[in-house]
Amino acid sequence: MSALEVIVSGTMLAQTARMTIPYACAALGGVVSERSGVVNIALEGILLSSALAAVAVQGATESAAMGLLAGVLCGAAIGLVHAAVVVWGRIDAIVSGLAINLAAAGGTRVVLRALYGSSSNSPSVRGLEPFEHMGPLARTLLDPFLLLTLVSAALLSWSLRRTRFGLRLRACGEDPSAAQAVGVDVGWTRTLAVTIGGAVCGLGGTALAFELHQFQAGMTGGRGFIALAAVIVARWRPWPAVGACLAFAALDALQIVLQNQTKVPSQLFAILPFAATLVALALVSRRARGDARPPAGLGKHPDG
Amino acid sequence: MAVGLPESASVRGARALAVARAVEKRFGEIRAVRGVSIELEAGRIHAVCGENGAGKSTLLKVLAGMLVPDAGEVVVGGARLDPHTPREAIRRGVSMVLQHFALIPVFTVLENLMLGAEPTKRGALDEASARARAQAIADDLGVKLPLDERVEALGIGDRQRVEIARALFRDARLLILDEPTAVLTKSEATQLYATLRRLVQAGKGVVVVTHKLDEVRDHADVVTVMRRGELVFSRPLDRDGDVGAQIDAIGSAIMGAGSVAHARAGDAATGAGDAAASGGGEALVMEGVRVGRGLVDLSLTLREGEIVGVAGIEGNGQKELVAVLGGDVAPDAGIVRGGPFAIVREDRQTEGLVLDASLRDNVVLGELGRFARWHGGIDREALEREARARIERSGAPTDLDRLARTLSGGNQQKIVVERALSRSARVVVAAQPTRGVDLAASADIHAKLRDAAARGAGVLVISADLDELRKLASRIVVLARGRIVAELPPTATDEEIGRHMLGLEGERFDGATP
Repeated sequence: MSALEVIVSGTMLAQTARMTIPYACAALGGVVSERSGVVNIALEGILLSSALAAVAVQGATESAAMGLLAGVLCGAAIGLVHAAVVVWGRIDAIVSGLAINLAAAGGTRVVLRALYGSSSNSPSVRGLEPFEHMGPLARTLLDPFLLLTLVSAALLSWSLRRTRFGLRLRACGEDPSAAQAVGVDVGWTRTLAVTIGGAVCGLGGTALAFELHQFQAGMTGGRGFIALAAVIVARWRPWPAVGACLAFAALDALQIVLQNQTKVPSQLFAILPFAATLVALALVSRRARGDARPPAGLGKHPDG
Repeated sequence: MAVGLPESASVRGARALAVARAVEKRFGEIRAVRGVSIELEAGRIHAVCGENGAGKSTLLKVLAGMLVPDAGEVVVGGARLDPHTPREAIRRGVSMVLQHFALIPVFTVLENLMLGAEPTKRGALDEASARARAQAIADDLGVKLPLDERVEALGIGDRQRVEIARALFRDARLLILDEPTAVLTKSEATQLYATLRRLVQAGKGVVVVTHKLDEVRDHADVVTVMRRGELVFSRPLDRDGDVGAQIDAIGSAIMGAGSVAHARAGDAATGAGDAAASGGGEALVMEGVRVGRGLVDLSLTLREGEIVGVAGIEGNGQKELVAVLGGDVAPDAGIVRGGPFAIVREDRQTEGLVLDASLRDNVVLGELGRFARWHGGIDREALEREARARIERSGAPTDLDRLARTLSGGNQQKIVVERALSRSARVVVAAQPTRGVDLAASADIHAKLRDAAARGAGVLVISADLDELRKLASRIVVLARGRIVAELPPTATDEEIGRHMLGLEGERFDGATP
């Protein structure tokens, strides 16, 4: 098979879709958190922690559904901690996010050793694969995680625009003092937003672990930060964020194919998605004065 | 609620939408509102007048639940306002529109109207019913509301209409507007009052905080005057009687009665200023200076050895005048010639001092270059000598290691003034030099400003305190709407100065305002 045939094949499409999921979930979590005005660089730590939680609970209960639930709840719990620290404790969100990321990197290793006596990876788990008898493309398109991701994106996008909670959430992100002045409870709205964001991000961590059928130390490899970049490139909108993640995942899948097909040093191709991200960020910040801007109240607390 | 009140009060109380009884509000040591009682009723446009700092906005913010009073009682909608929050006040029908609008710029008008009072249907926003309601409000107000336009695309007048509509969206029965016309053009202001009149005719209550007497004359039904935190009087305007005389009485109440005597008291001191002024050359010349929207066309000459007072209501260009003389901004047009300048800024805590630094550092702040040695280090001994000399001259406590934060306002101001005057400047600009400073310290600071003039500097004193200007200055210029509208001798009465400040004699300048 030539490189071109591989690129346009169903396998490649399937791989791209599967690789998109963790990025997209984390980016959606980032969107909902930051639209409420809470900076969230903790996405990386949430992905990692929920991946371990999902694997550990599935291993213990033999139930993929319980594993999924654990991954999502773990994400929500960390989101809640971040919100509590930032919204109620008024600690700087960057500091809190950094602490969560460092704690997750170290903490998952500690738990890994305690549970499995290994500092690198867990035993393998079965994951969530209800359509094993189908072809790779059909299996991917019907993948529960893909469907859940798309449903999350649709729900978030709709509720941000069309619900009372979404309107208040955006108001908190734009001008917390003004929102408070008209009776919006800024603290609770933000807490709920960051917790929901954590849950969606936890879905992504679970998908990542189940995709590889095990937990590996540091397995997120910076996906949370790439997702953060996607949030910025997408100007804090849900569907464009998913789109940015898809583009990144496509480049990532492409570079894997190119690595195998050509004689060029593989490291050069490995750079490709990251270089593209950097270029996209640079281009986006150039037109930051345009229609879509970051939430004006990002990182601001209400008066009093 | 009316039990125990005199009959007249209970009858009026029936229409009262909000009542304050003996309300007291302090900010630190300042008593912003001192035991004020007032009733705000439906069916009237109620103008609350007073100088800046008279306590009018503070009083009304207390009534709207935005500030919690230190003493006294606030009754809204027939019962004590509890909890004392804006949310509860809004729930009971009292909404306040602040000077800086609390609208969200990237939201549409409709979204802003809904926020906090959203109608919903099956979990989603019920936009159709919100739209219908907004349309009905717009019709009631007799205005057009561009519901799907983002607020950031609207002009000031439109934004204000959105704020008013938002209050009505929440079923406001009493609408309080804090200086609503400060940001409006004359025709927008006229439109606003037409809108407010419709509301009043529909049975709502409207309260307008203003210091523009022409608006009071043309639109108010009831007038309350506040001065220095106290309520001077509150009474209906008798449209059948001599309105001009009533307005004059309101003007004198705003400025404070019996101030003619003060004018005389200042004469002795100002005589010296006159003498010096006649011989001096020009220290500062400003011609046709324009800065943003604040200064429109300002011309002013200051001679060496002369003290000139700048009177005016805050927000008429004082900030811009200090900024342009202090070199913070360049004038958009016109000429500023003179200097070097020494500036005593209005807010000593944020602009004058580094509160967490020692007195030693503060009193030489910005002049470290003078104490630099050839290798770039600081000549600590020279700095110490100079700092000590200045502190001793200033009359503030002489402990050089003390933090500026720990000094009283008066002593802080002495340091700021001393530092400014130590820089042998030819032009000294002092903005509100004795605001919040006790009498003894004020006298010290006045003496220092006179000394500076006697040594040949031109001194410009910008103050809201007319007594202070009369004491110091050999002439008083009045700054209104970005230009000097009058020049008066220090013997001018409060009424004379006040009429110029309030724009009653400034009509002829209106035409040229862009």
